Amino acid sequence: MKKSSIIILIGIAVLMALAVSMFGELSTYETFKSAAEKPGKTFVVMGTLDTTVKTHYDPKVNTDQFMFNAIDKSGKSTAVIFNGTKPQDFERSESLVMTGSMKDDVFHCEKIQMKCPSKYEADQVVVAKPAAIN
Amino acid sequence: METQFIGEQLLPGQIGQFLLVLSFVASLFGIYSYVQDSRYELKDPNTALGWKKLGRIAYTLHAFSIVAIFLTLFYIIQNHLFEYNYAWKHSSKGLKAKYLLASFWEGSEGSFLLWTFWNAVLGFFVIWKGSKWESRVLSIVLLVQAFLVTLQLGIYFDTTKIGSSAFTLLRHQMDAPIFAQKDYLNFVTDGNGLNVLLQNYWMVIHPPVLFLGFSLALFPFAYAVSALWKEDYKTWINPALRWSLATGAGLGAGIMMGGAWAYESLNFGGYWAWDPVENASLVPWIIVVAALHTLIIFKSTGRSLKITLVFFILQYVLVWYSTFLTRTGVLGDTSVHAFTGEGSSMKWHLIIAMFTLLGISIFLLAKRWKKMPHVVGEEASDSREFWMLIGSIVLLISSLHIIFMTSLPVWSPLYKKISGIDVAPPADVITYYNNIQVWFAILIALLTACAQYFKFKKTNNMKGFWIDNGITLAVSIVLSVIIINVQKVIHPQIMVFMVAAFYALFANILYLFKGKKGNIKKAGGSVTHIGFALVLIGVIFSGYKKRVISKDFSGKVMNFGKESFEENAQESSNNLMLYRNAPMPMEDYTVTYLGDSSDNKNDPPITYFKVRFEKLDPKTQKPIESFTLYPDAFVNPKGQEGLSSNPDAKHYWNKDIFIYVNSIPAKDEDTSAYHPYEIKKGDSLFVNNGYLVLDSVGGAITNPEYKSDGHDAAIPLRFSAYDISGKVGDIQPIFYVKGNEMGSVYDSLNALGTFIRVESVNPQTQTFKIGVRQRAQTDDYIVLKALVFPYVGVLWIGIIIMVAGFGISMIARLDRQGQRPKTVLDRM
Repeated sequence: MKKSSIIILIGIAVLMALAVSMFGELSTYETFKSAAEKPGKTFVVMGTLDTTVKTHYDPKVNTDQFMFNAIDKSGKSTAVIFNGTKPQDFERSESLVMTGSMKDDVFHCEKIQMKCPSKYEADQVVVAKPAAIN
Repeated sequence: METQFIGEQLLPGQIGQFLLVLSFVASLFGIYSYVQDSRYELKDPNTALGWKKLGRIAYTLHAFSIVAIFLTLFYIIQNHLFEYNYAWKHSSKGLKAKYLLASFWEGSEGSFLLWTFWNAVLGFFVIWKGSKWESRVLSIVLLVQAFLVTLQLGIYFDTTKIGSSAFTLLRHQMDAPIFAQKDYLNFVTDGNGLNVLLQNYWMVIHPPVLFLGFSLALFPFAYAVSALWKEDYKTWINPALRWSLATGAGLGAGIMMGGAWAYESLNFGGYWAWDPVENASLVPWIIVVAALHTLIIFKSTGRSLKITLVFFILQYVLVWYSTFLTRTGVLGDTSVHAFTGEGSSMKWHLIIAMFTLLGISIFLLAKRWKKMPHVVGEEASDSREFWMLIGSIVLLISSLHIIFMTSLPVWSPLYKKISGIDVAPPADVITYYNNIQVWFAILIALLTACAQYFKFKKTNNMKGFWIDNGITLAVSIVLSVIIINVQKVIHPQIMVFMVAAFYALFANILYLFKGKKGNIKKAGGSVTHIGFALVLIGVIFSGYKKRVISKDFSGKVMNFGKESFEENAQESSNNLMLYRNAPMPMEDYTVTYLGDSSDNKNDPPITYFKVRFEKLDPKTQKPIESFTLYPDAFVNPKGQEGLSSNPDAKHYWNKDIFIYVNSIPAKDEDTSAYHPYEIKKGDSLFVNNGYLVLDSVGGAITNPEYKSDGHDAAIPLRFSAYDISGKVGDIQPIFYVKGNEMGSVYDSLNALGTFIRVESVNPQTQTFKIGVRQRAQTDDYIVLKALVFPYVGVLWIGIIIMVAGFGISMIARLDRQGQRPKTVLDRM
């Protein structure tokens, strides 16, 4: 067999092994309910902040615990505990991408990614009063 | 009749818009002229020369238009012409002058303009030195320029908007009732400002260098396509080699600066997070490095031509693909800092550009494939070209893995249709990439170490090869075993990685002295490889041995569902709460939060937190080291809620101590009441952490909160504030009378946590009733996270050496340009 053919075969084999291993590592998008079916296993849940429930962060008690309620795509509101400080501009987030696992009806979250309307864009004109005439 | 608006400067925008159209037309005209030139160059040299002259005129016109557009937009931003949407959206009057450039390229239009600008400037090198390659290379460059300019045109074609112009007026961009007023500009007094995350000096320099890298990448691509077009595979080698070395340096430096920005400005705690935006610029760089190596193989042996051409095409198509990924919002939820917004309209535009470039390349490749020169037979296993080729293929596979994974949001909808599973990126992206890419890095490190000890074609002295490599490998193993034991490394892949990285370092140093006789000028490759090895060593130490030192030892252990108590305890607190003036232990240090201060001149205001680190001698308890760090943060910037915080770091030769503020008390939590006092001028007043002296009554008003309307009488009271170390600042509450109305403007001094307002004035006794509020000690704290990055300096030095190595190689090849040694190809 030619050396170049061997190299190509090895290359293809490595790529296929990578692809197979990748699908094992990938997480999936779930709802709180479907995540609860496999407690302790890490999933990604997309949702929005439940503004009817107050968020809670008190560094005097625990610097690494932030609690809030989120509504997933099925419309269900669930308590979430985030293992970290309260992220900036949290209340104004449009949507939340939460990575973590369900345990006893609470979603334990390791990572939150927020989509904020204002982060890079602000489509509101800030209108100031006309400057006073001195 | 159109409404005449008051105070608008429309001329710069009209000039800018006209130049956009002109540069577009000039680029099309240039393409036509240069293509004609290439058609006639053999048949009719005189006609060809005429076309070449026209092409040059068109190119120059195009390039000068681009430069003028660049200056016009800068004029608009610098003069705060907020009638233009771009200036309003990305800058503000309070922005420091150095950040005006950062706001120039904050938006999509400005960054495309920057890219177009570099392409236009670099093209002149081809006019200058390109000789017979000029016509073809520049017609490809102009084709790319035409695509880039259309992205900035902002012209409606029927109902479809082509591109988005930086010269669009605010009143055209936005639909608000205010724009019906002729004098609307009087109300738009300030711009939206620059995103606080981008207010960092790296953001002034990182985008220009990165886009310079993207622009440089165009040229090896253009030469490769031209070589196919011209069916001349000899004389393109040297220019393509120089351009790809420049690309390696430029793109490498750009990526590094992005990492430095992330390290210094973003607090995700590191310089590399395998974020899609980072990956998208890394992958073209990896491919161009692979292309560079196969091109050297081709130059020296006549082999690997096809793979070289494929690499050069691939790297540039990937530059456009990365633009597509990062600009169109297609990455969606997977990226922290992808551009958002206008993207969707750009999507098809970018897809068309990308597939046009790809289509032309594939067409030419297919047409020439069979007729390309090739060497009969196989590479020998003891030849340098064989191992260099293997290395390039490893780089290719590594980058394919990265780009395939990064593209997950692109292909996951299709996968969902087929399998019904809605896949998401791995839960821990960084660990996922690290665990796979470490093996590619190991292979590459081993190959950079040993491949150059082989000779091209055949290595006669295999004994010397084994001695040199055996010694350096043995030294690396011994050194690694020592470090593994001292540093307690437990992961096998890190152990192997360490051996490989040291081997790459030592083997290349040896080669620099033995193979290249220490002649740095000729050893650009070795220098680059040494830099690369240092980068790997820096990555191992700073990444693997990175640790959080802001541990909370208060004993609270939360259940985070970890397996052991220790792991739960570790997760419980990686952040430390520091009350002001209350020292806390942190590893070897005693850390004290000393207070904050604000810079209100900055837009938006920035708050600095003063944190002192002291190291005490364990026996005598005397301080042996003391330093102060100033992590800062934008508190509630621009109506947002919360902190946007920037880290600060103490740099040692062998480690960085890296801290940032994660949380501070919310202002409304501060409920303590004002305490009344009655004082006269000259009186002093004791507060929690110091004292205040009423220095003067009346005089200049410095309190920024007070705005006079000219019809009021104001009495400012100036206090000097002192703590045990001396004067810490001034505080100036104001009492005013406006008509028959009286009022007070309070002032605060963060250094003492004190707020003062004037309640009333007694003109007879010259006394003042004031209210003093002290921030309660329990409401005066910061939540701090501190990390140690060991040997992160090695990483930065490694990158600098690597970039320098590319530069050395390039300069060496410029020198040798005139006296090109005969290559194998000349004999073919």
